[in-house]
Amino acid sequence: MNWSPENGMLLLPLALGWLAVWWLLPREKPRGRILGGLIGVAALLVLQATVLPPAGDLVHDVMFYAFAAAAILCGGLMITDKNPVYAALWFALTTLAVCGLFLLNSAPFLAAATIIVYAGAIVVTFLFVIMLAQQGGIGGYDREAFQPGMASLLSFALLATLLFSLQEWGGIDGKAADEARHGQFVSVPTTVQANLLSQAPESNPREIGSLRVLGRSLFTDYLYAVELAGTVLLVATIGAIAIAPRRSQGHL
Amino acid sequence: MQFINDFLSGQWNWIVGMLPEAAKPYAMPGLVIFIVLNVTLGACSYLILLERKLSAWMQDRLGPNRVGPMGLLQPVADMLKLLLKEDVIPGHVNKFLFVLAPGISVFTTFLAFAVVPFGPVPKGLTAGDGQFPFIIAPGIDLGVVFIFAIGSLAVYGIILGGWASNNKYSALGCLRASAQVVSYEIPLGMSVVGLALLCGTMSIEKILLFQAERGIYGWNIWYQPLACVIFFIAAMAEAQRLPFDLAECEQELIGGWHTEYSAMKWGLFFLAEYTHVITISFLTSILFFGGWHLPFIAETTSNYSGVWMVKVGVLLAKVSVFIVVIQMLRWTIPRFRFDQLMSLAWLCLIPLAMVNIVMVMVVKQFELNEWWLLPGSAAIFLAAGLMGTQSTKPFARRVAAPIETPGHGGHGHAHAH
Amino acid sequence: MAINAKDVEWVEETPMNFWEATYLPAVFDGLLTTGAHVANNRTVTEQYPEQQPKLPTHYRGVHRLNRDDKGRVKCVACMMCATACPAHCIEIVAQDAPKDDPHWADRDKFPKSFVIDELKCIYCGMCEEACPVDSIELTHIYDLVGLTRQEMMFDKEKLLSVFDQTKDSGIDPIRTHKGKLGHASDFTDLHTLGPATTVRADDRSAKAVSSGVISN
Repeated sequence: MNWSPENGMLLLPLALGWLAVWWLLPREKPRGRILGGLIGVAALLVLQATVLPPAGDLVHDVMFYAFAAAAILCGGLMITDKNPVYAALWFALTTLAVCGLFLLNSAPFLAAATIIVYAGAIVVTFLFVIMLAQQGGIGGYDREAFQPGMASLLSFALLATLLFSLQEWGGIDGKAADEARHGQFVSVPTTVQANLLSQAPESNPREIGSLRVLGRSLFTDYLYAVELAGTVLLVATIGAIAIAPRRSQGHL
Repeated sequence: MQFINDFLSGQWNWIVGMLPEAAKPYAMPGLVIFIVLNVTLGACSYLILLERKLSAWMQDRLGPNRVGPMGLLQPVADMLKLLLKEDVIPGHVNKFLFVLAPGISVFTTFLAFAVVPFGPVPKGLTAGDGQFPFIIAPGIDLGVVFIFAIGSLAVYGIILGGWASNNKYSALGCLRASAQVVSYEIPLGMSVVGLALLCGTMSIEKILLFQAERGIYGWNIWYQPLACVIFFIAAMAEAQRLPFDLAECEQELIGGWHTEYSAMKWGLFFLAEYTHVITISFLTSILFFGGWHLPFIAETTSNYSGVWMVKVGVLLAKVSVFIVVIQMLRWTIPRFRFDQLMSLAWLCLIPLAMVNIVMVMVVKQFELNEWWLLPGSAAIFLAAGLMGTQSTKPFARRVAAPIETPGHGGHGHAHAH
Repeated sequence: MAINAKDVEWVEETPMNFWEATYLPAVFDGLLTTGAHVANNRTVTEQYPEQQPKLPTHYRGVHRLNRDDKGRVKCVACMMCATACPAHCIEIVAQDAPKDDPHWADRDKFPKSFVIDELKCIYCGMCEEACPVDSIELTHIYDLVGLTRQEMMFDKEKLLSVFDQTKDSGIDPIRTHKGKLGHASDFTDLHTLGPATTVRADDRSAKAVSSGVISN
């Protein structure tokens, strides 16, 4: 990767974000949440100013920033909340905010499916487990984060990698890639502008998000991935049935 | 009919003319949302009266008859009672979530109405052309999926209500109810997959048009009767209606997630239930019974003036039939036990829905005549019944045998009289 | 008390036949039944304030203290009712009958005060059963209301006035063991009826092997 000043611009919000999350992670001795929150907001503002210029359409911009901010804030709150039930609820809200972003990018099926699968089923299962397992109050592992510094540092290193590679590809700072670059791993449809995150819906043909196109691409381009995922799920189901107690052997 | 048309559009044009330019594009959606919200709320309160009257008649009683002529003002009295009662928030509850939960329930059920057409949706509708759209959000290609997505969020009302109450009975009730809702979402969704394959779309408006264009023999009930039954049962379970309303049996189960709720917050949960009933009835009549289509009277080609009124009337008539059926089923079928509830979903409805999907896929793939689906559905249904006689053991044989008392012989001889 | 094993009958669920296993015919059958009631409902509701209920003869409402043929309170202050009362709602203060008064010549005792707490009472009728002179009885008065607790403490005068109010109503005849008890239970001029509590020959609960279990 060639180092450029633009890469450096990303380091500041990342560092601030790491500081905020590290500060806010649950500790035995509570720290001031306001300070952490302020650092977090500062990180978001710097990130916004650095990489995400407004696209121009007022309604779209407002909705994009609302959903994006909600997703990041709820995600941060999910990690830093001591109460696991609240954490699960923040996760649900994160999912909903991300679904809003999907809708903005004309992917209604993806949004609906994500709501059904994640918000409607998986988080509900989490809540079940938390409610049943934590009758006696919040456990020690929820009160105090395990290796907060190292964990947040590693996760932000991961985030940095992601952002840098996106920037390298030319996707996030509004500068469209002129030609397919070396090391690019996703084929960009010609109708889709390279500025993926802040793209206006009308520039995106209606067909892109439609069920027909999605189904066709799932069962042609990504056939192996779909089949593999299906097989993994099947194996998981068989495993669950295998380890579940039988009625004849014990109580159900 | 024509003069009603002229009168309405004249009034509307006059109102829109008074609005500032910037507000004009939002006038029509605002009107639709206003109509849907108010009609639904009013219908809900009168559905409660209808349900109480029907229950009374079924049990050879009179029903509410004191407030207003024939008890017609009873809903007003009910609402006043709910609004004026002391709104108790018990101590030790999580106040924020406790208050939020009924809101989520109502919000999600009303949100589902956004994609339900309640009349003939005009073709080629564009924003701001002044036509009445008969649907809040026209042109959504994934109406059915949208409804399921919103419906799956309704679980949060139940879970948060039960958990925030800080009461073990509420918590158990919310686990029970949310397990029920999550389980019945699967047959609900799967029963519509066959329909989507058949019609080639997931848009509710397009499924309706698909049927209307083919006449009465195009109604999906002829091709997907099994799916219709599964959909109806699963939707009733989703709405927590009898015979699936374990939350309401205080005698056996101490209510459910709304044990700690009182006054209007309790009322909101039931407002959500009744709104759900209306949504179910709309969806059943639109997806399976042709929506506003009725042969000779309301066809796609009908062109007389005021045809939209007839179409809305036909649709509402169909919807009320289903509402009445749902309310009559309440006093017809006894309530399910929880294990029966779960086995109905997982052992009966889901396999049947799967077989139904496979059948539709076979018919579509080999381009068979679609009428094969009718005997096919009947055959699947009867085969399931046959398997039911063969495989299900009576529950009494599955529970532990009675402990034999020495000197009394086995239980076979215990019956002395 | 544990249920006697002889009273327990084990019932096997009958296996379902084909149409029962498909469930839907049964549902439609049930809908026909409920639908028939909707279409042809024979209302049994009583419109209460306008239409008074027809209560069964053995209905147990507000108490009364009967008068004898001389208009005196019939109660002999034997405390049987207060002893029998499971709710302990009867309080009697007895007084010796004045010996020199010819009006009381045939009586040893009479209640100086007789108070029933109608709020404590469970209307079981044990007092009526215990009374040896058919003095305390439960009437058909069911709409008992009061604004204070004090108002619901019925004293002797109030209970006697209940008797005066109900003796001619027709639905509250004086129950009597006439002939079996002393002269205090004999009447000549009032409508009477046999005792309220008799064990009928076909009473299944009287023949149960263990108490609380009724067999066929």
